[in-house]
Amino acid sequence: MTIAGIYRTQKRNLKEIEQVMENLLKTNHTTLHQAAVDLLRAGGKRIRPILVMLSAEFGNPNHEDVKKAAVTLELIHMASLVHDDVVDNANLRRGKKTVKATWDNRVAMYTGDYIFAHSIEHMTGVHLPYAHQLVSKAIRDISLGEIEQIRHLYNVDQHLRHYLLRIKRKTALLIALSCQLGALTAGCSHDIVRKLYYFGYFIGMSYQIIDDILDFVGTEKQLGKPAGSDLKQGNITLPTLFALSIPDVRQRVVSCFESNNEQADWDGAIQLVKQSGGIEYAESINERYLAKALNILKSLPQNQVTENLRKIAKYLGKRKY
Amino acid sequence: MPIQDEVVQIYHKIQKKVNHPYLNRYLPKPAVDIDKVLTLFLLFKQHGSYKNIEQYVMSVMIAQMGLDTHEKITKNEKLKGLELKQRQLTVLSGDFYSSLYYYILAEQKDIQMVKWISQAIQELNINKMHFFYAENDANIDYYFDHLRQIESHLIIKLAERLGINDWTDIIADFFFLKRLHLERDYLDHTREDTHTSYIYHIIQDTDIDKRKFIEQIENKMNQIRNKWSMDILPKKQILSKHLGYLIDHFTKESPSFTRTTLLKGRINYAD
Repeated sequence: MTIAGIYRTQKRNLKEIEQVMENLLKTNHTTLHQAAVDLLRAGGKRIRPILVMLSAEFGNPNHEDVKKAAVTLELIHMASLVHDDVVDNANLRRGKKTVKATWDNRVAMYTGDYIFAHSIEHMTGVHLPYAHQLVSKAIRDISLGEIEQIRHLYNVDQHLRHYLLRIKRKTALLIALSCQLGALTAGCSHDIVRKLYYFGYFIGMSYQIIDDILDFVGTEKQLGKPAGSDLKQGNITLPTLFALSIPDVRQRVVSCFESNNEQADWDGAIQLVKQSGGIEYAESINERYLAKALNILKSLPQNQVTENLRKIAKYLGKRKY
Repeated sequence: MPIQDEVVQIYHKIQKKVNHPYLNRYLPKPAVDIDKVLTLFLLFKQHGSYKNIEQYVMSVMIAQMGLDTHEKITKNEKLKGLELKQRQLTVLSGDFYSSLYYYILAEQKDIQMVKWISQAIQELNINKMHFFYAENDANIDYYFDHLRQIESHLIIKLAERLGINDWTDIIADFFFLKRLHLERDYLDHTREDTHTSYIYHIIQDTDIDKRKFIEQIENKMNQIRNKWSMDILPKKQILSKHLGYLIDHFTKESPSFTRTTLLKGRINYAD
């Protein structure tokens, strides 16, 4: 089955999830409603709900808690994006104007808080205290990770472990939680729940590394935002981290960071990072995470579900945009 | 342990819970409203069946602090350097506090309380949108009505859920009065942090006259004071012990608390 085929098998579930999200976010305030609906309609890969649904197939995917978990995690993700755009001062996301650009920062803050509160309320439909402990801990760690990201902006002396911990919290945790919660709410065994958590964690790491590579090699049209945005914002991702080990490149990057943003030769610095071997290095780390994810799948029951997860992992870990 | 000691203890635990060394380097310490801590504490005491009151008070207060922190986000101006970093960290610290309230309640395994608080947060944000982005013609009374709700929404909703409805008007009055007092200071320019003022922004965004607003704030404060003198304080003896304590605290300064009592010198009720 192809990725499109996997999405087709989940079409009904995804449609239902979209509908639930749209109904949940209805309010009597036009702007708030519009901001929430715009976010919903901006779409995205819906990778978290897909992973919840697919992981649930190791147990009872029709358990009512499964879709509640899927809706919760997608709403948490959406809420975090609205606030991230304020943090990054971003006017575009997936090629569309952000909430803060369409309205202002205040609307973005309220919209994010509103959606986040909805996500948690929806989760209360799941009566498993352990599931709440997992979700709340993940949210706390994600927010701590975001703070760490700011801490390490423009820090050219950071280590690989800083980067890995950052992307774990920023991206991998929620993806790992998607798989874990899908299995948990579907009543899977502890062993399967644990293995799916690690599967999600490894593909989450791979997903973010690819994202960081694409920020250098993708086009503005593919990315829906200007290429090289990470570097320009002082966010040192894996390709740059590697490139910083080369004195000439390091000097150029540091000089860009130290100079006024408008005057800096960002294009030159981006080119140097691309030519440094940093992209290839990041790809090799990505391959390792992908291999770990695929390895975990070998220890799960071999069926169509495992096969679909394998395809999802490869799709995410090798995507071009 | 005396109530005030327990409350001060919770106050310090909240400070400890939200403590983050990196945030401390760039942001002012988040304010913990001791009046709200006390109100929440007494509400749970009054209800009587919550064992870990401390944890519940902490979670609701931290949720409130998360929302209050996001009030500090400046609008669209392009910031650079330290100011940009502070804005970024303000967004993220608010998110961090918001995550903590859920974390604390999840540890208590109280899913019902998580539901109540998250519903109240949704309503509060809708209310804020109505306040700042009024969809129809809005007058000063409209803004006052919303401001009264915004100031104590989480606590009022919690009181309603706990079935302690006879406290809600008193609580809403007090925190509204406190907010009006603060707003008057903003408008009098006796405070510099005007970006956290609600009414200051309304004056900037609408054609409502500032003097008119100040005049109406004074009137509203007097109305509340008169209402308390006439209706609430005379009945204090017949109210529950905890509500009586709360009213006493609201109307008198308690030296155990480090806050500057906003009511000091403004309301002088004789028992």
